[in-house]
Amino acid sequence: MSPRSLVVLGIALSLGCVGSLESDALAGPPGSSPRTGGGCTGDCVGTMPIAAITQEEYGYAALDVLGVPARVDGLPADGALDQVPTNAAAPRGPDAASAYETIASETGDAAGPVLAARCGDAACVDGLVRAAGALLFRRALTDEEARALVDLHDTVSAESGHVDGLSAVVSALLQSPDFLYRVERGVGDASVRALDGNEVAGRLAAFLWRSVPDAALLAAAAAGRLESDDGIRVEVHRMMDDPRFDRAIASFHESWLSATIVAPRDGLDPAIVAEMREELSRYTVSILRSDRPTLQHLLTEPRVPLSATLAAYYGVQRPASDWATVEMPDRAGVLGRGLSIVASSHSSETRSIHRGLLVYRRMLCRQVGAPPASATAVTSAFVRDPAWSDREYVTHLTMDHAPCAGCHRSFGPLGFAFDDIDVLGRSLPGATNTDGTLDDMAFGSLVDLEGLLSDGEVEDCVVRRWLAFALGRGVDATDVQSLAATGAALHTGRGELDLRQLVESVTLARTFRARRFAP
Amino acid sequence: MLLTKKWSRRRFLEAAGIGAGAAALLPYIPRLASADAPPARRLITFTMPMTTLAHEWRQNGDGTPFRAGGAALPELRGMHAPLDAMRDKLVILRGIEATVANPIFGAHTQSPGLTIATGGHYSVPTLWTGTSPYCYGSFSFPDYNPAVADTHDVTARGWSIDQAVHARLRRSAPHLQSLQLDCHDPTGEPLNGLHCASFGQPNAGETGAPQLFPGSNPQSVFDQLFGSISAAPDDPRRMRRRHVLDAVAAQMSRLRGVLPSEDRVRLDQHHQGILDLQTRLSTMSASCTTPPRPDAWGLDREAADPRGCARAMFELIRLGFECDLVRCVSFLCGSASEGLAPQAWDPSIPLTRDPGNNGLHMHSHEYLDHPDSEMAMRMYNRSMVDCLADLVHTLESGANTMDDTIIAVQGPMLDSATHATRVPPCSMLLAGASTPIRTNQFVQFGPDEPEAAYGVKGDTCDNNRLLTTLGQAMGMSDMTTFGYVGNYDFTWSNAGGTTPGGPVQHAPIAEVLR
Repeated sequence: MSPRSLVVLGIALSLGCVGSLESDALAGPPGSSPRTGGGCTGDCVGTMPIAAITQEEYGYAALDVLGVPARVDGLPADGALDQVPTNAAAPRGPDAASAYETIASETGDAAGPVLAARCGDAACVDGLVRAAGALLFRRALTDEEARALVDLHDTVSAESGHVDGLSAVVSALLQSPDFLYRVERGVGDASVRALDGNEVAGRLAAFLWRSVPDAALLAAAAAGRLESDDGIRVEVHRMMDDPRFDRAIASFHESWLSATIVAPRDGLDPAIVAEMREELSRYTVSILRSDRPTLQHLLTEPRVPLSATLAAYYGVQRPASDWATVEMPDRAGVLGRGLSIVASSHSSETRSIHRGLLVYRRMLCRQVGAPPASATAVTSAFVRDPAWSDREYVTHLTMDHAPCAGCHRSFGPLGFAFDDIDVLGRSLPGATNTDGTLDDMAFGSLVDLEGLLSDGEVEDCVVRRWLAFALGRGVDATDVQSLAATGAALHTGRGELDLRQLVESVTLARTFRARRFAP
Repeated sequence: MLLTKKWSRRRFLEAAGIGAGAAALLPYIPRLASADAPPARRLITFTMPMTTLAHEWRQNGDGTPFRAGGAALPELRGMHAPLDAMRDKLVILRGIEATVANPIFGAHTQSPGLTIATGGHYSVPTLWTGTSPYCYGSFSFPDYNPAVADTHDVTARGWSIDQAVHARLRRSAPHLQSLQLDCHDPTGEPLNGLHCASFGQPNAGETGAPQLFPGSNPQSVFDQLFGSISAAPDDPRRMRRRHVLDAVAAQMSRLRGVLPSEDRVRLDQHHQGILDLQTRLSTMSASCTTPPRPDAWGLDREAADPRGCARAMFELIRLGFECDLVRCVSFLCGSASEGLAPQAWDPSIPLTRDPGNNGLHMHSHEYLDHPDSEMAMRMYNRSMVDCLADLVHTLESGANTMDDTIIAVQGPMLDSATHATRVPPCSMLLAGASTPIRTNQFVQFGPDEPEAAYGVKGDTCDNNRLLTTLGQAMGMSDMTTFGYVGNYDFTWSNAGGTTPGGPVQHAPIAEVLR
């Protein structure tokens, strides 16, 4: 825990900021940073039940293996834990089968002709079934499984032709539980079991590509190379060099910054939101693929890839071409990106509250309780002086008196750093006061605040966020300790947190390569 | 002999010249649903959020002395006016009290002057489950909506009445599906997902229970309903689907055979769903002709035109009823969203406030202070009632499935400040002639007092009784209670609710049942 965290802990407790909305077992006292490590003895592997893959994984798998898109919004909705889309918490209900059947059938219809171009008659069906099936099942098919699928093809072919037969095979593959769930049975019968090579490959592909393994990854598994650290490193480096890793980068940062969903509102053009999403993706990808893939770089880089439309929207210099970089010194760093700001802006006069929470919860991993029961009455009775700015209104409403001040003084001033940006993500004209404080340290702007965030507390938070993203569930002390046990040096020679090294280390942690079963 | 499904009891009375109004004067006999009143065939729970204009829902505001036991309705006023033409199907209930509406959920819970906390948005599950909602703090359930999960980790704790009825119906008709529908912006408040709760979800503290996720896209709902039977039984496409499902079912069985038990149980519901699909494919009648899957419903997205979305959903309900694919539906009409403007539901509502401050939720809180918000909420509420009338008209078309359908209506928000769920202001039933519901009446419980007085518990009717009534009307004659009761008066915690006082019976509302 950083020195600043200790100060915060004292302040928060003294102010009575109570309650918890964070989800993991690492949670310390309210207002505090979570503990990293500790409390784990023995085999440090968290619990992970079998879970359905997410819509994202389904869609990318169909694209990667079959070469056709799938209408993933027709699939059963995903759950989420701590903003990470996952279905770990709840099993699929009875209606899921119908949705899976519909989308698989549609996708099969689209894939049939594509596959027929590669496999023109029944003679090659067995090979095709085994190849596609291995990728989608994340393991080689048994002879029995392959035979069943070939029989399916033959039956349907006899009724309606070869292409329909191939469509039926695809539909069956995409509805199979071996595809829809990452099946992990481990090796041996201990309560904590190392995953076998195919199962590690499945986790790697889900984490790094949001998809299923490719043939090379399965070959590495078959050769036993995913049973060693060095073997995993080789594959992880290959996978991070692959463009498919961009999916993970974009998906992680959207979930980390609470920007997966942006609520529609008057004046907010969905096309602009889509461009903001692209901006965040390109920006974060550019950092992680640079020669300085560090957290500190992510928090400070002023050159931002922008489309001409988005540059005009923001009121900054037009890029030389679409998605060329533009200097945005006042909105440098990942926190300056439009998508997360808009996603955390509910209304003009209270926008600083939610933006403060964005920093407090998502960047610092600190907790804050739910508003007290009297909050509505306080708000309803509060009269805004027409002369007040939004900042003055929020300050008087939330930080001048109990019971609101106990919590709002902790995170409220953080949101002022964004006050020169409106709820639609545009810079406000004229000078706006963006002074604020992070604990006992003052900042004058968003860029100043990001400078203050480049410390161990945020690093701890980022480590936990990546770990949760990789595992597809909330993390606990055992998971963090498992990561620490890899002994990996996560910092560069300049003392910055190396995000690519972090990703690699996560894949080497035992909690990533093993599963705990019920005794 | 005349009291058959075709000749309902009320029709008999009407034919005999006694009339529907007189039917309400039949001797009041507290009883369970009788054998001579055939159960309704279908049930729709219709939820209207943001019904905050309580005075607009009052039918007795002019002092007409309606009392319990039923009486002919006067000319309907206020929000009920659009339903005047269908009064022969209507029951207005006043004084229903959701005693288990939970008091703990932060804002919206208690207003100065109210002695009993009233539950707010997060008590919406109370209305149809009869249980207190559950605050799970992200531990036990997937967040309904990742965008707002940090602050809205609340879910239903019991299963809703439509799901309970659906489960019973499936015993004899395993092909049946249930529909959970809404038409709102997909990023809306999570309570949009709390108007239905699933079978097998008796306790939200159990991590294994599945949640229901309402469909808000008519095309997806079409797929759910008809995706597996959109062709004649001997159509090659349908035969292909049967072959595929057989292969999938075999693969599922193969996998379940090697999984550890902790994994196997998590596939149980999915497995059952596959078996149900197989049953549906093999048993559906060839006479059920369904339309081709529409490529467009005239909707860019559901949020852009929720009224249009609702009309599309109603048409799907009608088709599903006529093909007997579905008999239980939950529908959330309207939205509680901060981000959705009332103009989405009624474009004629004038926009007079800051465009950035034009959400339904804001208006519902501020209508007392802003005349334009009051107007917006009145027009929005009216649009929801129009929507309800649309549903009735849709079901009356075609094969008139409205005839043996019950539509139960609730709206959780009592007034501006509290957004109380405890005393829903717009409880109604709309029921066809071939149902055991005694219609064309206004039934009041408790004193006819201003809404604020409901902070003090009076001689009201527990909402759980209404749920039992619905169960009995749907043929569950053994249903004598539904949901939990009475935990409003002790400190409730995440440790889980209890039922003080032991088992409680929730007798059906005799005035409503024939």
